[in-house]
Amino acid sequence: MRTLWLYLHFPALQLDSIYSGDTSSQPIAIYHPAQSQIVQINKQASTVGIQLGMGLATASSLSSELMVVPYHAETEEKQLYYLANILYKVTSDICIYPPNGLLLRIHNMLELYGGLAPYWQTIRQAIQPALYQYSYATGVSPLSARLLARNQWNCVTDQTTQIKQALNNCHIDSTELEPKIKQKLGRVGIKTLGALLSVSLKDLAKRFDIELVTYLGRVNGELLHHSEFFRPPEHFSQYLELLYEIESTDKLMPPINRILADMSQFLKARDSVTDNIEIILHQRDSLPLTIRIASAQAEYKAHVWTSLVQLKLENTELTAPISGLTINTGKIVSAQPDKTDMFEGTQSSLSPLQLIGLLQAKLGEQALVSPCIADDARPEYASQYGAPLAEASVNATFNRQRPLMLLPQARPLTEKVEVVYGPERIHSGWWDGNPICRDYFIGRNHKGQWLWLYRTTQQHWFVHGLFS
Amino acid sequence: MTGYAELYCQSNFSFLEGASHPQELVQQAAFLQYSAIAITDECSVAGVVRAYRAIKEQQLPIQLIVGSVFTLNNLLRVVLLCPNREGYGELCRIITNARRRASKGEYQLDEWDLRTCRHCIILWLPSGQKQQDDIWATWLKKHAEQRLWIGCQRHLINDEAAYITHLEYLSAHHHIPITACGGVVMHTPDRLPLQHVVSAIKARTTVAKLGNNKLSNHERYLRPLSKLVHLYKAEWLENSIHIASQCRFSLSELQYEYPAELVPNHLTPQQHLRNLVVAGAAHRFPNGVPESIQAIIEKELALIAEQKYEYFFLTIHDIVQFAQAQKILYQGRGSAANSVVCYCLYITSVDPTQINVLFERFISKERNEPPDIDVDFEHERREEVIQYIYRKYGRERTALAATVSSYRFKSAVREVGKALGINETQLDFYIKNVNRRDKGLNWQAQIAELGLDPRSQMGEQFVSLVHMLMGFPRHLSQHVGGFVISAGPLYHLVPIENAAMEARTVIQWDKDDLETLGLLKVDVLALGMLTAIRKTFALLEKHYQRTLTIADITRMGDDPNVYRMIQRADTVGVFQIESRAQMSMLPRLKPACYYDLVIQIAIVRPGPIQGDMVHPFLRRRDKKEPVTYPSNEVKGVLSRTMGVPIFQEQVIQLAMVAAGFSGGEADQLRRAMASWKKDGQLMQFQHKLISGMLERGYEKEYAERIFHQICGFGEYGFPESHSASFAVLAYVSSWLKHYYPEAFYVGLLNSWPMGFYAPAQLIDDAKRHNINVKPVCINHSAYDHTLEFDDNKTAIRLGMRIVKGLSEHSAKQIIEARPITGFTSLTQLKQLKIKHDQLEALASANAFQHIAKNRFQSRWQLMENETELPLFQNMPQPSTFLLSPSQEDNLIEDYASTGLSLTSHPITLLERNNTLPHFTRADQLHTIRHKSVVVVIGVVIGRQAPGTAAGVTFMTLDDGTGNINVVVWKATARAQKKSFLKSKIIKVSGILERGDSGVTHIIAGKLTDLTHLMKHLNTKPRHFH
Repeated sequence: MRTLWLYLHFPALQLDSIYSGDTSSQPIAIYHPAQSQIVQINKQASTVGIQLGMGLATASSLSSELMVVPYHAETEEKQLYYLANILYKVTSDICIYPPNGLLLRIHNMLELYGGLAPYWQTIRQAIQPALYQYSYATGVSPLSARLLARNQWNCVTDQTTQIKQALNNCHIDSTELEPKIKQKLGRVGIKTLGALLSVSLKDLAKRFDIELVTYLGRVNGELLHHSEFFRPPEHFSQYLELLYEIESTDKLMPPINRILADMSQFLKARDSVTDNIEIILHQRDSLPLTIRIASAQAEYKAHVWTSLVQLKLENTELTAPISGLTINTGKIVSAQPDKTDMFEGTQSSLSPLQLIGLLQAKLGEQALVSPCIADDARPEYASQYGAPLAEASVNATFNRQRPLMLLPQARPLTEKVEVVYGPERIHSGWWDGNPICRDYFIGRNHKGQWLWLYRTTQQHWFVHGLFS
Repeated sequence: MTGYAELYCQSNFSFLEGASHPQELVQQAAFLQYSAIAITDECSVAGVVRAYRAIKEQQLPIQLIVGSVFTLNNLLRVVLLCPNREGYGELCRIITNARRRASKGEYQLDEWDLRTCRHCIILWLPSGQKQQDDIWATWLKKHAEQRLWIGCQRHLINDEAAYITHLEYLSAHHHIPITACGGVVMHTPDRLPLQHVVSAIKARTTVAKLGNNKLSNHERYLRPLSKLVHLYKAEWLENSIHIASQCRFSLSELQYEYPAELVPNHLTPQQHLRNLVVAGAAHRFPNGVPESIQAIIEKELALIAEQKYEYFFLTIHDIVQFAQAQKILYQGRGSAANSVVCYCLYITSVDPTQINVLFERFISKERNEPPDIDVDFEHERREEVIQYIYRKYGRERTALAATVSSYRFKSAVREVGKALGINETQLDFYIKNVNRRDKGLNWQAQIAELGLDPRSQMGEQFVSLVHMLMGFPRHLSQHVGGFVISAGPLYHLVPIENAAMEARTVIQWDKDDLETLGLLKVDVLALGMLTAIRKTFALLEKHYQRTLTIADITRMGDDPNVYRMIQRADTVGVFQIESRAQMSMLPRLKPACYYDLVIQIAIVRPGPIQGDMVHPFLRRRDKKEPVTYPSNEVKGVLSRTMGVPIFQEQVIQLAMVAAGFSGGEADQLRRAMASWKKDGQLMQFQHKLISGMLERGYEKEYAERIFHQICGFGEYGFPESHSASFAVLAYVSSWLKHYYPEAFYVGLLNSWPMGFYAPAQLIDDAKRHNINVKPVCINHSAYDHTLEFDDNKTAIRLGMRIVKGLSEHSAKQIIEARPITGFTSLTQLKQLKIKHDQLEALASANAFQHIAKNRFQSRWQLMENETELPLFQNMPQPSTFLLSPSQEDNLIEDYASTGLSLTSHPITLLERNNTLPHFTRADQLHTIRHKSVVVVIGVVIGRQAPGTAAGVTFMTLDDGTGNINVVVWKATARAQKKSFLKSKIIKVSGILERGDSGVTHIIAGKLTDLTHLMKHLNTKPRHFH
């Protein structure tokens, strides 16, 4: 029996996958900065006149409520994996065609489902809840199915004559031939795939490189096209883009619950559990914030994780608005009845990360910090507390006279000191609203202590640190 | 109180390190009562002339020292200062060698450079590492014992006390005296943010991320004496003055040392020049030189001798002699060019008996400026002239002047924004949406409108930094054609660096700097129209046995037939008056003589338009307004242009006679006008001009109007002398178009790219003049376009050069191999061993239409690889390829392969296919009433935005029956931007306006893009601003 393939093309994958809460009446557009044009729009956007290919300025002038999101191919690819996971339950051979396509090899599934129509029905139902727009087509080869689906044929059939006819009508521009080849074909008047296929391969081979012949062979199904099939991942990792940035932790729960539900499904399908998860909050213009949550007992049920996360979030303060969330599971183990209690008998040794996660869950995030150096001329910003065990982004090569201990808050100088070294003048910080203009000195008080002093432009003296 | 001389100071010509202009530094230093200041940029003296000029113009009481700072292999840092002319020569040599060793923008100093330095004073800036410093101290002492100093800088950084102690140790141990120096990079401390920003730009990161790699405080500014006294020992401050007193070199010592070989040994320059002029005059005036002309010659020669400019004229004479010998067409222009001497030297072709009215004004002693002559050469052969100059004088003695590229609005916004960490999409948004020509709203206000809060800290900083960065130099690049030629090696005069172009070297000064120092440059420029005229002359000789020169044509006087053609605006292809803007003015201005053309060329430019001079001029000329002059002085300046200032010279003359500007001040005004866009210095003159005019009894309103006109002029003001030279070419090209149109079009087409129009429009114009144009044919075409004569009618045969993708070499190969009776089959061509794609290009251009079925078939056939092998030649191949092009296909292929179509027009085709709504053809527009609504459809062939205040754009459409002028107002353009900017085929609904001179415009209302109706149409509209 001939091979049969089904291709699903998702033209607005990133847009469809954005979590927008209940603001579904918002016009949204995805903008591709490198191509300088709008590449995806939702219904509301097209109602106000925004079109694909428009520039940013034009589109924003058409609607003041328009939300513009920059295009990210990685987001789309992650969604493909999400969809593949869902489809894996109903069909076995799936290939990922990033950024926005899925190919299914279906001829060996048809017997299982008793025919093409019931199979197709099942597929549709499986991806329906995600509410993604898509076009689809069947073909005798991966490339033919892909070509027809991207041309919005939207037809599922195993009749090869029908498929051939549809292929013949495809314009050369919509194929995936190199632009140079398309141009060459255009210059001799070959505009459709049918016209191209009517020329003998021998004549073509005399004029074009092997790529064209190979492509045609693959489209026809005469040449084999190697595909790599999807294997479900070992670990759960899912990313959700937020339409609006969220600034308070209580509003984070609904999207988190969305992902936790999927995570729960994932674990259940594998009959596994995990005892720690990591939530990454993607912040605009800052490094992402990672929250680790460990459960005393390995779990898969969503509601258990929900309450843990909620507890954790209550103690977390957001310093920047969140634009996206990722949840990763830690090590997955098969579900086993729990025999040991954490507080009884010999403990299982915890890795540093696990320990940190546990401590943070119990004591709050602020309780655990590691000091690290930052590259800033201002003393109060030069050493900072960062996430536990985080590495500094700058190498410390210091040959500066700096005190061992910096006072958390500089205190006014009230005693008499003998100034020995200085001044070291520091003017910095004009760009972020925290400027300092100080002359630093090293002085000694009558007790013999070496103090790090500074004098402001108003001639006020302060003690900022102590030397050992 | 002791004084101070700043010996180590960098301006913004240390690119992306200095944060102040050289002028700002010297002004501030003078204000602080420094006795001297050295501008010591990194391996460069590019900024010193600006400092010198500032001191001269403002008469600042401060001495300028020339020097430069260098780093050797990252180990040794020294400042070299010039005490005398020899030291300066040395410095130039060192800079030249260092720059030549490295790629553009970099330098590589060598120990040898310092070892061979015998005159310069060396300021050593020790690194602080004891071992290294000891070694260098010994080395430096050995080579520069008496001229060596240690430069001590105090920047209040960490552990400076230890460093000072180290310097004192070095001084004592090696017996090298210490002097105080600043290490200055900005003139006031509030430039620190800008200095951080340029450092961030240099490091390609943000200010925040620079961390400790930027200045930790603002101490590197020009500090007041009171502070310096606390920072340095008195002895060190005194030493700085001592060193300054040894540096007596001034840039005014630089004399232009002329190439001696121009004058034969036994003659003086004056004698030689006179001989050449006399000989030339005999040729130019074969019937004897008229007395009036002779008087002018004497006057001019006397002036030249007085100012010692003989060599300048001799240099240019030599260059044009070469061009004449090589039969390269050229024309000199500029204030000094339109003189009788230049006419006799064959530098220009402006016949003085025709144009004597101009000569009086051109060599102006008061301005004390070197004469200004540009020479335009045929663009295709300019390189020969350049190579001649290099050959004759050698690379050592000649180089191109530099152009300083500075930060403009767009680049400043982008770089400052990136340095502050602002999102790049946001920056693009600002850039795209700020209209720099918007007179109502300056860019700061526009950015506020676009969402940047000017009161926020970020907003304020951003705006202020962008404003400061605009006008800062970015890098030096080569000037278009300005050559400096000297007697001895050029690098004794000024350092030379590598230009980006291969085998080109550039000096570190630009033309303004050269002017300030009185050094002469010769501009060797390229002009497409000269090529076209020469080629037309060649055709006249070949086909009509007529030999003509430019001078011959101007000598014939003003021909009314030619001017009638010009007044009809039948000027496609004519030099300078063929643009849409010009063509709509011609029927109104109706030039009827040479000087009218001179005005015509100068008046249709952004300057006069923006300065609102065009309408008053027209009204006065049409006698709708009386011509009045507020005084006789003004009348003297403006009477030839109806009292309206049109030429740049007039503006300067007004400033002098009406506002009392001295020659030097008028110069400054002219320079401010020229660089108005870059640094907005024009406003300073407002007060002086207006008060000067008020003092002399002019009305305030008149004075303000004049100033407003000057601002509008800005950098667009056109000099009368240039306009006069251009008018000659405009007349000559019009004459050729009128009397020998076929040859003229062929001359133009063979010189393309040039001019305002693409070949398609030139051919359209030819067809409208009932000239038959024949397509490219494999058996009839040459490489160039040619004339063909069949029964008394002259036709144009398109040449193979019009085929895209066909090289001249391949075309000539084909033509050489072409049998007398022509090719008869494609196989013959395939045997020629010419690359496939070349033949395919010809196939798509339908060049084989007489020997093959159709262009798809012929191209298909030519794509084949196999049948080249002799074995396969006789095997019949049944083809599976059966396609033939439709009419639409033919049109598309015509455009794709040649950029034009002789057989069909897109609009005609679309109309025939019933795909177009109702519209009016160009040749029917005369039936439409003034002010009625009309719909036109056409291919967009040009957009011209002459930079007027209202932001209007002229769009030209072509619908196959003629050209249509569409006027798009700013609001319309903004609202329908996409249609406006991107359409190739556009539908315009608008109001037809017909002026009383018959010029018709459509004022655009709705613009609809119809390009999709004709996919792949390859017309590229030309854009002009």
